Amino acid sequence: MLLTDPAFIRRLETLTLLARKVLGGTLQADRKSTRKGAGITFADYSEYSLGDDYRAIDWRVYARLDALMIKLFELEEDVTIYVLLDASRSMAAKFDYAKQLVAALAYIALHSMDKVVLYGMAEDLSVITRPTLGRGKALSVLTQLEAAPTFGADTDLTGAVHRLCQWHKKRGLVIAVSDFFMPQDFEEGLKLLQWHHHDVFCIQVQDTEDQRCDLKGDVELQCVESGRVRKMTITQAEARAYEQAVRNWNERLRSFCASRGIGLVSTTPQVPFDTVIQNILRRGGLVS
Amino acid sequence: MSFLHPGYFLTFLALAPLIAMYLLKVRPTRKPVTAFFLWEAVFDQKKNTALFNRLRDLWSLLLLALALTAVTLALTEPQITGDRQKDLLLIIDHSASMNALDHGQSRLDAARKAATDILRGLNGNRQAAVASVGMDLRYESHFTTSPRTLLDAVRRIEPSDEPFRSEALANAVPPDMTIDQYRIILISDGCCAHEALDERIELIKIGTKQDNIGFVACDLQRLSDQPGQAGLYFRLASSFDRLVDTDVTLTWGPNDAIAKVIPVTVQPGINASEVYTLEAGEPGPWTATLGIDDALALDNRALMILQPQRPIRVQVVCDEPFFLTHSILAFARTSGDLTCVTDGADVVLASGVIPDAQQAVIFNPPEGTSWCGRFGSEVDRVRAQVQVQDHPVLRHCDIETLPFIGARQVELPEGSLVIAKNTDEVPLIYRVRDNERSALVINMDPQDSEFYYSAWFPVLVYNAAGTLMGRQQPLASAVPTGQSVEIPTLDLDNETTEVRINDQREAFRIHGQIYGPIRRIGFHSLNNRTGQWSFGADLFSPQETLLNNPETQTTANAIRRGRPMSVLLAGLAIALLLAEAILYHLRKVG
Repeated sequence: MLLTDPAFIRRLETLTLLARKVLGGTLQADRKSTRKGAGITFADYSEYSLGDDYRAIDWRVYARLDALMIKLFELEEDVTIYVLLDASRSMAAKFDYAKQLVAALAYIALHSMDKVVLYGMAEDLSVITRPTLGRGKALSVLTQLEAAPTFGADTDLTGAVHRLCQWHKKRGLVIAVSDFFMPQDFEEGLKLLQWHHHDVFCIQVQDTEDQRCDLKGDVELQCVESGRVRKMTITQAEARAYEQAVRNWNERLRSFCASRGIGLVSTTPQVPFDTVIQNILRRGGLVS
Repeated sequence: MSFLHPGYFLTFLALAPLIAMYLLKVRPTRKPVTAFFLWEAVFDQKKNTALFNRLRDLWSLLLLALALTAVTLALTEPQITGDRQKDLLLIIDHSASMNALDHGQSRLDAARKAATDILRGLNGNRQAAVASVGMDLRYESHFTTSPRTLLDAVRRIEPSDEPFRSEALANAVPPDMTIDQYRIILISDGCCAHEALDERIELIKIGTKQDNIGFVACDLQRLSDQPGQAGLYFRLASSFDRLVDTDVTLTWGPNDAIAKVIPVTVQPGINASEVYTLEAGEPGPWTATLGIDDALALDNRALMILQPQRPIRVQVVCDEPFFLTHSILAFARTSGDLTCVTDGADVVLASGVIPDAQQAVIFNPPEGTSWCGRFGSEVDRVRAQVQVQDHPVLRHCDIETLPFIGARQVELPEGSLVIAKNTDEVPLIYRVRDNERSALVINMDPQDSEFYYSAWFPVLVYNAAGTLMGRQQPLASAVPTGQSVEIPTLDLDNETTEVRINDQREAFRIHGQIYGPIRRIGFHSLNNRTGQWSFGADLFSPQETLLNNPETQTTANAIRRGRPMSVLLAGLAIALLLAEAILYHLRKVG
């Protein structure tokens, strides 16, 4: 399905409505700032000091405690959403699906007046869309996303994060969409993002063929990214061992994300993209 | 080793395309994978099987090459050097000694196995026939290439009670047969007269030295001078290398009542005969049994019949009966074979008259015509000549010295048998039959010839009565298998006798006076118009009993046995292909 297809865009519109309903009308709602400011959501009390807004003094507290306390509200601020879409060749089979997910998230973000930047990620970063703001740019973003190709020989998350942080100093929400089959490891890159004060959210897209081994007998396995070839005899034991290795790898990703407070959603192309987005929204948004 | 079809070695040329096709077949398909680094981790843990996996293609190729080699060799049909590729006549000895147990199986079973091995070795390329031999040669199958027919023929060969007769093999060797025509293979234990075997017959000797003792002769007769008593005679043979002490148990009657136990010491070889007297010599079936468990059971028993006293009843019809009557009484008093009666006679002894009797001995027939001839005037000069040599009527008689005074010219009825005649062709002693009647005519006046005073007179009367009643020979108590028996008959040629063996329900009929050769051991019961007669049939063959004949040795040249090598090679090829298929399967499905 084309990303610019009207039917697809109608599904995105539905998701936007759902996002407003679930998240209070804007995606900002779930991007809580640690700074306190003029918001509508109560956050904490603080002693009145000179220069504070009189309107924030809680007179009921003053009546009980005989002390001037002011109410603090959460500061709601606009967020830049950086999307790192794995565009390596290992994603070829699920690249369209990953694009649909990215398109949905970008569409919702643009409608929430967030700034969106899309990058294709392999051994290098490739710009899909430059920082874009406003719902009027949605079609343009979808068009550019649709045209994004796969490239590169390997996925180097750490290198990609380095470049991202060099290019964008402003912290924001980084969404990494990948199968996370990264021989050079994913942990360093994710840690680096957090070190740069980014909020991180991972969407793992794996095909069932990635998780299951239907190969038997003598085969020449070829790495789709590096092109390396190895002749192997796959028995039932080897097939089970591979499946276990994939499960271990995914469990390692899950454990790492859980320990670092990184949100993670794992899905396969067999699950409709809007179902995945709905689940994310119903869980409270892109939070861990 | 030689090869029947060496041209098939060209099949090796198929090795090159086979290898090429194999290499194409085993080339693995290329599969792109996303998590290559995970696969590498999996296989790095399995490095211990890497060597076998690397060599697996080589193993498979080696197995295929070996399979092709086996198929090629099978096609060329390798042969054992020395086996002359000729048609075979396979003769299996099934005589009595082949019943002997040899290491738990009978020699016949061993012979059948050897024959089966040889027939399997033919591989359908050569013709063969199967025959069995005992007393005589019997073809079990014609010449054929069909293995099933030949193997069935071998299976059909049953053990027998017959002795081996080397002369029977003469029929197997045509007089004009050359050694190039076909091979004659005799499979036997060699218990035969080896010098009688034709040199063109190749012997495969089976069996090993076995210890055995058996009866080789036995008889039981009434003692004429001691009424009620009987004499037992037997002879044993032993293949033991030492003296063996055992017992001979003599039992009588259908219940095998023990009559006598005789301890015997049996020497190696054929022993001297032994004679014993039985106080109560009851007529009927008797069995002598050796108390030993040895290789051959057939000769451990001797079956005998003590014949009952059955005198021929003779009535004398004559004007002067004195001499004729006393000639009968002479035998009535001694052997008891004849008795003189005045009524209900079996044989009428007449002189000068033609009696109206079924069986008659007629001296001096009167002039005129009767059913036994037309008699004319007397003959002047008589000189007797024997016409039928060794006729039982003339036994122990020197008939040519008799004067035959009173002999008449006679015109014989058709079918008469002239036993003695005058030089001018006048019959002097002849036998004539008319339907149920039979007469022996002695064409002389015994009184004028003074024949009554001759020593041959009672002998001739005895012989004549016995001949008319079909008792030329007394029936023996025990007869060896392979021999024939003269049956008491009234009509030599047309008598039908019902035979029953060991009280079997099913009887069979024979015609004529000769029953035999006898093939089965047991009590044989004969029934015809003369009455019921019995005798025992036994092995009584030293060559069968002695079992081990060191003079016969295997003379057969090399002969292929067992399944052909090509079949084994084909089986090997199948096994190799199966192994390769398993390896290929493992490669394809892990």
